[in-house]
Amino acid sequence: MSYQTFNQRDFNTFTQPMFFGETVNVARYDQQKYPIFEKLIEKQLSFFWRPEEVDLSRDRKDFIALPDHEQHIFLSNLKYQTLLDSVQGRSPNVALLPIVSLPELETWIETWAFSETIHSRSYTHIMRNVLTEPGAVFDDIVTNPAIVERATSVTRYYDELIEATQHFQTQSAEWQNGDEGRIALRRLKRLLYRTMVSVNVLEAIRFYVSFACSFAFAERSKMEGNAKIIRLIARDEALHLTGTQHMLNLMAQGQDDPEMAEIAREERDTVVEIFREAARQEKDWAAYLFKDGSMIGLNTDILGQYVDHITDQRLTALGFEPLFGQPKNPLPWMDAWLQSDSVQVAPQETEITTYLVGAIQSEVDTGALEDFEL
Amino acid sequence: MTETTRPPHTKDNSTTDARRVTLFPERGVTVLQQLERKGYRIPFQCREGYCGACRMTLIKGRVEYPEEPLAFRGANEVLACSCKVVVDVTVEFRG
Repeated sequence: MSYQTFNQRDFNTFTQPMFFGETVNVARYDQQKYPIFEKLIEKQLSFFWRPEEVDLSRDRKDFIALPDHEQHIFLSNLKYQTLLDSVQGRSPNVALLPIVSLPELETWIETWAFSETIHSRSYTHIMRNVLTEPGAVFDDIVTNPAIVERATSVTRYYDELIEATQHFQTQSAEWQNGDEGRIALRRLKRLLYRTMVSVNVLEAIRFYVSFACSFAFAERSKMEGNAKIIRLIARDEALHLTGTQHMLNLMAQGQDDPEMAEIAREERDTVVEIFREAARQEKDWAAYLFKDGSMIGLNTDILGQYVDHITDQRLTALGFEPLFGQPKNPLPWMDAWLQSDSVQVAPQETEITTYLVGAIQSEVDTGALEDFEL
Repeated sequence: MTETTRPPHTKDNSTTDARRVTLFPERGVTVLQQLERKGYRIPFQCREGYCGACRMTLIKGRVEYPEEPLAFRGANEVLACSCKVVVDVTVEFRG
């Protein structure tokens, strides 16, 4: 049975797993198996921003004044971010929408991928403002060996899942319900689980390594408009990785789909390997970034230590043992850059990055009403 | 190059230790704020419950969430930025 855009069977949504059940029919949110995805949608919508709101005119002057090796670091990092969001802007839709079975999760996937397309548009906004001729930088993303190698590792699991799904969904219902179909479905679930882990690695490790590079410039008061955009992206990514962690944990717990929980148990070693491999690749990438020289506050060693730190933090969040002995964060200033309540977008604030306008103390407790008399 | 460009705060690269801290109810103060006042450096990002960076283990006691946070938390885990102590708690975290 192939994918149906409007499944005409009548079924109870509460009996459906997140993936590989009935295809979704009515996009209704009055009954939700997992209300968390609706909350994630609402939060993501409340985050809405446009790249053009951020003024980058100072960044152009900053960029021209950077030494060559720092221009290489900045542009390579931006190319990597462009690659990651090119993948994330489409892949959740292409890979997950054909197999999703819950309306709230379907809409979360679409909302999630849409916000990634805003990130992609923001990289063009940055390049247009910083460079006279941005075309060559974009062209290099598909020809530069260091970037191409990364593209392979971030897309591999998505592509395997998409291919296997297409094969499965073009078979007859008879084949799908037979022995071969059952084996194929179990393999599909395994590929989905690996894809989810790989997405978590992309959003929770790879992106954060790139954020560290962006913020390292702004720590020296360089490329602050860029850092402001990256801050908005980081706020979105924190939400996305929460979404992925929820899906992975729901899969592993087994109430959603008992077979998925079996697979999650079988895949524990693979998960660790996916994280280990990503950490190694990120360290190789750090060596490429700093091949012509380091910058103040960041070099191959420090970024490598940050990779170890963030990898262990993400592994333990999924209930796995740390790989690198849980080292301390070697970039403590990252916390301040990642803190979302100081995210501002108004142009006049580019120069003073901690500037807050219209900040409201939203916390109210009964103590605030102590002097109040009727 | 490596040594000269390293900022002073990265010299201590020792690994983090598991720490257990007991906290008491305090009106209007989150677990994260209480720990920060005591001088612990807890990883955080959003401080509003959706990123999960401040997730830690609840050893004993009870906390409450004025608003249900979005980030995933396991059965014995709390999100320090979003909860307040109700009954004396002991939390465990890496720091």
